[in-house]
Formats: sequence, C-alpha cells, structure tokens
Amino acid sequence: MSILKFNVVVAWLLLIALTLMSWYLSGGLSLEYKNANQFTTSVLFLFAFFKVRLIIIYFMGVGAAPLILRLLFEVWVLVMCAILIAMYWLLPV
Amino acid sequence: MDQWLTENELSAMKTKSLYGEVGIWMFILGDMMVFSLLFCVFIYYRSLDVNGFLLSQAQLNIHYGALNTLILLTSSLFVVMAVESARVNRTDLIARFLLAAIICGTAFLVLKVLEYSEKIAQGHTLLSDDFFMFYFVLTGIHLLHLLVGMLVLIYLFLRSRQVTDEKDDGLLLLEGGACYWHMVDLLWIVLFPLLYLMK
Repeated sequence: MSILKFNVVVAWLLLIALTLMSWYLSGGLSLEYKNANQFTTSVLFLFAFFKVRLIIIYFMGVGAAPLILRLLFEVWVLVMCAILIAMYWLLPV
Repeated sequence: MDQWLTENELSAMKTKSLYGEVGIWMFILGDMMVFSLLFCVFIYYRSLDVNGFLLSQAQLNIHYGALNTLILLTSSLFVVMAVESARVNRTDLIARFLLAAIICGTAFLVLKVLEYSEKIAQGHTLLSDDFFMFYFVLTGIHLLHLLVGMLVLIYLFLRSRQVTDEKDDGLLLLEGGACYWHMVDLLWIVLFPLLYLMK
C-alpha cells in the first residue's frame, strides 16, 4: 500500500460505491422496468459530477496543481452539472 | 511585463506540482469543452421527444454501462499506481500497473463490441432513431478516445524502463498520458447516466 496514497484509495472506493448506488437506483437489481422519477435522475447527475470531481482532484492531481488550473476544473464541474440539470428540468416536454 | 508574468507563472508551476506538460492540460480542457457541447445537444434533442428517447433507452442494458464504469475506474486506479511507482523510482512496478490498466481497457473494448453487436442484432443502428443516433455517435467518439488512450498506455508500457532516467522526460510523458486516460474515464462517467440512466 506504500505506493498508493490513502486519499486516492478512499476516492476510488467512493467512486465504486457511487457507481453501484447509481446502478441500484436505476433498477439494476430488478429485472422489471423501474419507474425512476425526475428527482432520482437529478441525484444521478449530482453523483456523476461528484465522481468526476474526485477523479480530477485525486487521480489527475489537480488538487495540488496551480490554482488557475484547479479553478478552471472546479468551475467546469459546477457549471456543467448545473446546466445539464437545469436543461433537464426546464426544457419543454 | 509579459516576460515577468511568464516567469512568474513558470515558477508558480514549479512550486505547485503539475502533472504532465501544460499542453496536455490545454488539450484535455478543450476536449472536455467539445464533449460538454455534445452533452447539452443530447439533452436538448431529448427534450423534443422525451417519450421516444425513453422507449429506445429502455432497450439498453444498464449492466453493460455500469460494468464498463467499474472497469474504467479500476483502470484509472492502476494508472495512478503506475505514476506513483515512477515517482518513487520503482521502475519494476510501472510496467506491471500499466499492463493491468491496458487489460482493463481491453475488457471495456470487448464489452462495448459485445454491446454494439447485440444492439445491431436487435435492429438498432445509427439510423434507427434519434436516441440510437446519439448513443452510437457519443459512445463511438468516446471509444475512439479510449483507443487512442490504449495506444498511449501501450507506448508508455514499452518505454517504462526509461521513465526514471533523469535525462529522459519520461515522467512528464507518463503523467500526461495518465491524465488523458483519466479524462477518458471521467467523460464515460457523465455518458453513463446521460445515455443509460436518466428518466
């Protein structure tokens, strides 16, 4: 374990856990179609962008990178997540 | 003034640790912008025909998507381990971890081919409807990125012995390749709920 930093391992475990949770919330265990609602979908997007941020900060090392790079990525994660959820809720059905 | 700014920035880059070259970060950010646009276009077209998209989406097998996410996340962990091995001069481990990541990438590829052939056998192609057009185009562009990433990992694997040579810029190359691989991973993490899960 000396090769790996503790926080990288924790990040990976969280990534796996969130993936399994997304799969479960979408009816992964049941064979029948699960009637997930808009709220669940929004939670799935929040999970996804939280996962994206974990990868950026811990795997890509942006957590220790120059501030400008970190800011660019943090802003991208926030803005993209907000835009996708907003488009999902607000566009005409 | 410009000169001073550049030097200042350069020294900031040196005190803070930046993985890889500055160029690779420009490329990664640019590529992420292109995908961002594609994500938005997908949600826009979906809003024009929500029911049609939901019906087609129900034909997808979410187990493939979830399994491929787990595989890519694990490959990324191996790539992190390869980079960390290089940082502590454990040349022997670099190749081993890169090989593990390449095997994961191959598993992703195999599953994707299986999934594509299953869909095509069911009669869903690029031309079936808007949902499947997006499905094939988005996962196809992603797959192209994955293939490039695999070639990069194989190249890094073949020259893993030189990485810790001080005259060589192998560590920078390894870090840059690693960051590209992580980008392939994070783009899939957004594609998974977008194509497979959203209701």
